[in-house]
Amino acid sequence: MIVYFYLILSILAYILVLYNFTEILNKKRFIQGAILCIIFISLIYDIFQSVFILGIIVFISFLVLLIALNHNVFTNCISCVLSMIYLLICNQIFGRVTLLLIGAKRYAMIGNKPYVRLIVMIIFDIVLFLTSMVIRRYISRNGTELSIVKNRNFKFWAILFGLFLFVGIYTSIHTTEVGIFDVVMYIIGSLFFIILLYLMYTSSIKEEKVARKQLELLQLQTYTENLEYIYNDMRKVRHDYMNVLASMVGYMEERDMDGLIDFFDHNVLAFTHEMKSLDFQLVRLSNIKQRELKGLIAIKIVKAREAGINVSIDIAEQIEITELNPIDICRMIGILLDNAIEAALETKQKTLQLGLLIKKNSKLIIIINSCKEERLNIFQLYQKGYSTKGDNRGLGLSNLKEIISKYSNCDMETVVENYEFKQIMEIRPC
Amino acid sequence: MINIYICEDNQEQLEKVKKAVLDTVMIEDMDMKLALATKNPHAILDDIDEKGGTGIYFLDVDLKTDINGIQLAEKIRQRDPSGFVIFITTHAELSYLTFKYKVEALDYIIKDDFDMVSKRVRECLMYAFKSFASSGDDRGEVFYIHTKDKVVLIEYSKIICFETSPTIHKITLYAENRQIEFYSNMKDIEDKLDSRFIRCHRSYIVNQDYIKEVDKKKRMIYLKNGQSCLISVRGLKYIK
Repeated sequence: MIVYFYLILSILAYILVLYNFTEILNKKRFIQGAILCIIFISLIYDIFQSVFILGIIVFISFLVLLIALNHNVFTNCISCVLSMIYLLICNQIFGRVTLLLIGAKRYAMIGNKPYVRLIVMIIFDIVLFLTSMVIRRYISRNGTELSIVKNRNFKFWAILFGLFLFVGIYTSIHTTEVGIFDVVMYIIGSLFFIILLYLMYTSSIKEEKVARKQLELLQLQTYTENLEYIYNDMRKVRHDYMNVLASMVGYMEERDMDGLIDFFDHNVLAFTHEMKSLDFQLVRLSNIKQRELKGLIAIKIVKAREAGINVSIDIAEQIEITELNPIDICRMIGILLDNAIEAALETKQKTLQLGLLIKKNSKLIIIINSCKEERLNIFQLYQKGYSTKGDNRGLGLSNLKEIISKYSNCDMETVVENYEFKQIMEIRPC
Repeated sequence: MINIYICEDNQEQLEKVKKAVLDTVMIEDMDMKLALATKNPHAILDDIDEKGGTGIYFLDVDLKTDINGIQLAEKIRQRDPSGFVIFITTHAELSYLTFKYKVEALDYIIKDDFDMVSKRVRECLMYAFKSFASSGDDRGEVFYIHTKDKVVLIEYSKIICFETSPTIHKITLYAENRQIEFYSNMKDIEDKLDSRFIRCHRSYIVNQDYIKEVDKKKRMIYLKNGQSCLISVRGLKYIK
């Protein structure tokens, strides 16, 4: 009779872990199903009387139950496998610890005293439940939103790996000899593990690419919005201009020279000033052929403008920088612009000039910002960790140096003069 | 005799600049003359080829012909590397960096500021005149190297040290308020320097005026800007 208690407690152990490792939507139905399983398993156990088969039956019946409940094959496989592995490992650890605590030398010593065994099993179940609950809380708090987990390939290989692990541990518990079988299991298990790692790696690269594309999109969006704004500005000015011309024609038709001169002095000159302040700068970015570079520069320029910096852009010809890796180019220009913007903000004039020029044998990227110091120790500026802006800064220029050192066709000139800080990067063909 | 050239497609503007040039040359009694004022860029190039010498060039940026002012300036540079180029531009076309770094223009004049144009022409002419008069004096004290299409020009007294970089043939020049990377080799550089520079190591040439401290045991030189240079065994000999 008491055997049934042991049986139920054993199955219960598995149920408790599974409960925590699976998403159970309908708890009532799960409990009903679990009871059914217990009855079913007990009957089977009656027939076979083998602990070995017991484990397998428990695994299969609960897997079937879960699939019946929420129809999701993959996820349930993973949960069942994980739960079983967890159970087996905890069982081993718990068993040995208990032996140590009690001072017994063999499992049989506990096995023969029924009440001790019962108590031990109950404690084991409680410990299992609590620990699996803690694990579950921890995982759900740190986010299981990894897209890798939803990948079909990953799930397939994860299950295979899990099953192998499961079989490996299970059989090693029930056999005492180490043989070819174990070695083979070990090798195949490791292979599966490596495949899993590879899948995770490629998946994270894909994720990174997606994130970058999104950033690019955002930058281009900002750029187009600003272009639209400029366009509208120009339309207004053109409209006013046409009006002014029309008025002037009026005076001329009347041969009203005095009126015309008066009109000119009062309206046209002021108007010219408005025309001058039209924003032609951003449009020059249209000469940059690379979208990601254009977007990056656009977004930085816009931010600089909003912070009150006078930006002037000088890109006179269509330019494309193919000599360097596009990511490196963006990173380097990003660093230079960030530095320039921060430095310019600290000055009164707040000016920033950006130039992309094509010379006969090279391309130049020039960034000049107003600077509050007349002299600077440039060597120090490039040192890792050095910053004029406080602690935990100062990696930008040293990173820049690292990136540039990868290339033998690219060099940097840094000058401080007349309260201006100039960075000139020269890029030659490979 | 320095030749002055003007290239401008708008007739009124052309006359305005021409008058400003002629007035200034006469008033200041400069040894210059107006060689050509035209809207045809090719005529200017032909004239330079014919006359040679060096000159001062006032160029409009938008010439409305097959080449624009910047391209014209490039071609002029090929013929006259030390001439002075001054661009006449509208506010909208202003490309200060292109003027300066691509073509090494002296200055620019904004034609939108109608009343300022004559004054600016005068200022540029004065500056050019002064530069021509005083050039050639200070060449001695200057380090000059021309490699791979890059020209480095800097006073000896401002150079702190030269250091090789991990990238092949790339050398970094550290100076007061300036840092330049260029391609050369240490031997060529050494030959151009004077006695205050010592080659203390395969990778370093140091200006002794900037040495703060020498540690012969550790074989290191500490410079005033915080840099440190290695000393090779051979280099120890050169250090006092």
